Amino acid sequence: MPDVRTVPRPDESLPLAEAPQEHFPLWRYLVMLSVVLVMGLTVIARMVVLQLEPIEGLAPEGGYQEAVAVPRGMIYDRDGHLLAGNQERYQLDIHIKTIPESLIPQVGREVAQVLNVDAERLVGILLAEKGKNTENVQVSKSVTEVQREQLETLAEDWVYLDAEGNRVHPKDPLSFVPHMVRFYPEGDLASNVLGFVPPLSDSGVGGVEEYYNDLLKGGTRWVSYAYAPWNMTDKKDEKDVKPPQPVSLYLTLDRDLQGEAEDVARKAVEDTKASSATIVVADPHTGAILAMAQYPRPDVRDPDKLAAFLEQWQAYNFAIGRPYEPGSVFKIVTMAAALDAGVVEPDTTYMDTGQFRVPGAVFFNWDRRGRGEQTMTGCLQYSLNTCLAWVAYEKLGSERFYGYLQAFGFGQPTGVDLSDEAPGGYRSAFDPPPARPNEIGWSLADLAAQGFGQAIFVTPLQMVVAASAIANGGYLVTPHVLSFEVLDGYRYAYRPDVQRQVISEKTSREMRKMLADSLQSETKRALVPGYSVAGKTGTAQIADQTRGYVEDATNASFVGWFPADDPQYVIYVWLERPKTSPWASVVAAPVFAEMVQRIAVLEKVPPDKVRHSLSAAQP
Amino acid sequence: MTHATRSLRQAYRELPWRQQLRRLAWALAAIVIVTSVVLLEVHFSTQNIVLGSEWQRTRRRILATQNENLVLESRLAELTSRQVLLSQAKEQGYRPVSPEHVHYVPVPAEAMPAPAVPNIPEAKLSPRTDDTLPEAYTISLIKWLMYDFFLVPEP
Repeated sequence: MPDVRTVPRPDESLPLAEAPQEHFPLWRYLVMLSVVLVMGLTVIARMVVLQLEPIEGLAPEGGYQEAVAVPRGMIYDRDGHLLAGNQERYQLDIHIKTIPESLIPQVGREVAQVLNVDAERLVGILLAEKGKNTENVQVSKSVTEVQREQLETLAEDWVYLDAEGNRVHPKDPLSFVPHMVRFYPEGDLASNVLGFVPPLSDSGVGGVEEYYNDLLKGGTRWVSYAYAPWNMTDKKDEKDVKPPQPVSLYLTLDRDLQGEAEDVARKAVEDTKASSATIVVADPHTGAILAMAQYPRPDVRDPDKLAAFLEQWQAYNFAIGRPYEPGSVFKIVTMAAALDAGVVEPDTTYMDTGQFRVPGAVFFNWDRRGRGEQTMTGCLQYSLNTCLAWVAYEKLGSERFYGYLQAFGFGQPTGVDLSDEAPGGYRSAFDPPPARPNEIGWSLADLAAQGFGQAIFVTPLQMVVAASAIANGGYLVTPHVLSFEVLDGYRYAYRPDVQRQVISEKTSREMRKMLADSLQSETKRALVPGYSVAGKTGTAQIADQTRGYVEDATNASFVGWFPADDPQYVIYVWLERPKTSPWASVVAAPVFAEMVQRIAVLEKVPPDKVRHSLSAAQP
Repeated sequence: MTHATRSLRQAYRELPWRQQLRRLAWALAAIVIVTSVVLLEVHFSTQNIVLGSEWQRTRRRILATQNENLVLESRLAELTSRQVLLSQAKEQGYRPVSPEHVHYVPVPAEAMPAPAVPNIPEAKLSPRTDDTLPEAYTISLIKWLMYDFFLVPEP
């Protein structure tokens, strides 16, 4: 340690004080500084370029973004059978710039032959575009894999002679760009429920395809990839919140049950010469629709047939889109309301004279006969219009009657998850008076007629919902076709929605017994050996344009469930304008029985005797 | 501070070249620090670009495979559609049964088989875990300087 006191004064020469120029000149420092400066500025410039300059092909906002073609979500039945999937199709472009004019007729004819289009028209278009010096002509967007292979094989033989007389193949005369289109592997099975996706579109029309379009739709999605730390946060705007993959839907429909119901509907139309048949099968406890069949059905594979179907029927799905006067099947609603209100009991009697008068109208039974004193069960058994008109008009009265109709959900959509549901409707005592003198307002005759199912328009599904409430203990459940949805490998289940209790458990029990008893004694065509069933026929007149009713046409319906003591399946049958017989007990009841038989086999429902013994054996 | 030390400091300060050196050193130090920070930034950015593009490629491959699977699934469904199975069953001599042809044999302690449900795990109904990192970990240095330090309003 040197003694500081020996250090010379500042003005004296010191070893430290040697000028740097002597050992390390200043220029060297400056060079070093410049090198570091250049390096530093280079790095900074590079950073600026990397971070602020947009990268070619990527969005300028930062982060990788690219368009990804996402196929439309799949639709399955409850067991996982595919009902709506996707298929690869190709967009075909002809590169007419590379094809000489002399070769175009051959190309056009061969392409038209494979695609099954008008050859002369295609050749004309190609020649016209060639004249305009167009590079490509888009010919089709729905070329199949087989057609593609055929066209590629044909294209190998396309040759022309160049200026020197050499045989030359046109360079890449065809291009095929793949894309996904909707495909229904089961054909037109459940087409009235599924809806469809028009060609070259990603928006569903009708049914599930339209109702759940936002979940199902594929198309082009922008996918973001972070490439810098600050872009790793999830943006919360709408685009990024949407799932990157479409959702797959599992329906409550059962493919085999639906197929059986469609077979039965077709057979019913053929046997009864009806203009249409509609069958709905549902679980009364959950509102799950197991089958919703109709005949005829829209054929989504043929646009022309589809357009003709919609023009003829003005509805895609008859069970939700075509309200009609149901007739006597509606008597179960009137009777349930009266029992629940306590204005009648099952053994309350009514003296049937064959007619029932209200101010301005007289109502008769279906056969214009009177059956004397009848209990309420007898009224249902013989389907007495007069009795149910009496119940609605005299026992319930307008306030209670319309209160129950509202509680059962008539005149309003059921809330089923299908598009284009019609609400139906009826005139009620609470309607405002007619705005114009020529309009018809509500009258007491309406109340009496509605009691037995005329002067009210309902959809088959509304009747299924009401019958389910009567069968299940009085609870109005929202019908639905979605069982669960699958997103990113996880299922999100639909929770059954119980809207309200419409009638009491006691009323429900009484109705189950009354409808089983009345069926046993009167409508034997609806019975199935070994199985107890409950239900009601309905033969309704059809209103015409002149505010009257058509003479020789009816709507034949049947609503019922089985097993009668423990309802598991509610079945609704509607035959429109049957020709072999106008009566529902003749044409609709056997269809119900046929459905019960098929359901029992498919769903492995044992006969009552076995079922009861199994129940007794269980602890 | 002793006189000698003061003298030394004074002598050092008075030398112009030392002053120049000191300024150069500060400048160098500043450049080195800034460059280091920028180097780190560039390093991580480029690494992320590499990872991002790899992710992008993988994702494209996944999507292509998924699409292929979907097409094959649709094809398989068409080959095993109800109509096809029914016609094959008819060809093989099977016929539809009615309930009276089905015999149920109650077996003690055996319940009726429950309907098959597609084997897909149920989603947890608890709220989704938030996988978003806090801003402090994700904001860029540049943005932090601009928006948080110099308080430039965000666009």
